Amino acid sequence: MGERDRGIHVGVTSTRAQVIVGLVLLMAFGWWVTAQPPFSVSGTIGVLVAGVALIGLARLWRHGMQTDDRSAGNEKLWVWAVVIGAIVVWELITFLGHPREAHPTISSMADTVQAEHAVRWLFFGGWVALGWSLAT
Amino acid sequence: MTSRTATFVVWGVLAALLIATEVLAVTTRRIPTVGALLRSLVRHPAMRVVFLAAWLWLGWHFFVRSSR
Repeated sequence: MGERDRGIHVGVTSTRAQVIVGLVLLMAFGWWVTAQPPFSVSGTIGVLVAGVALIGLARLWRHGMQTDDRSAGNEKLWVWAVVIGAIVVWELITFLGHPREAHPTISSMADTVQAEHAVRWLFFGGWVALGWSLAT
Repeated sequence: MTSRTATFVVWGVLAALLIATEVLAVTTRRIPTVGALLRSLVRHPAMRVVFLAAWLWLGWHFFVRSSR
């Protein structure tokens, strides 16, 4: 391994370590964010800080690592358009239906499931994973 | 069947459809995976900004607005 290759290897390892530490800290911060009361200013600021931190980590990752530039293959994306379109249509139908107990939406079902703090924190992990996919 | 049960049944079918599509994508590679779909959606920088803004709103919606 040459000097240059060794330098690149160290740089990549360092970036990976920084990002992993950052994500662990972000999940720890998420425990506090998901403990905030509904509609609180502290909760709103917490979500914003977590979002900005994740975008910063993603930027660090994109600059330090070789990003995946493989073509996603736009053909057959229509399959996903049909599936997601069906979910959006059903969400709208249930959203317009009343009462909410008889026509549960994604949000109302999530509210019920998220009554437990630990489950809410797991949801936070899913939200971080989705943001990571979008930002990297 | 009550409205509530019928609504849950449709949600269940849609969730199964979503999972089946992803499993089909991963196992057969004949359709894009969710990851490939997201990559194609955010390929343009402006679209990335729009989707990240929507993602931030989603975080606020689920963790702050929640009526738990």
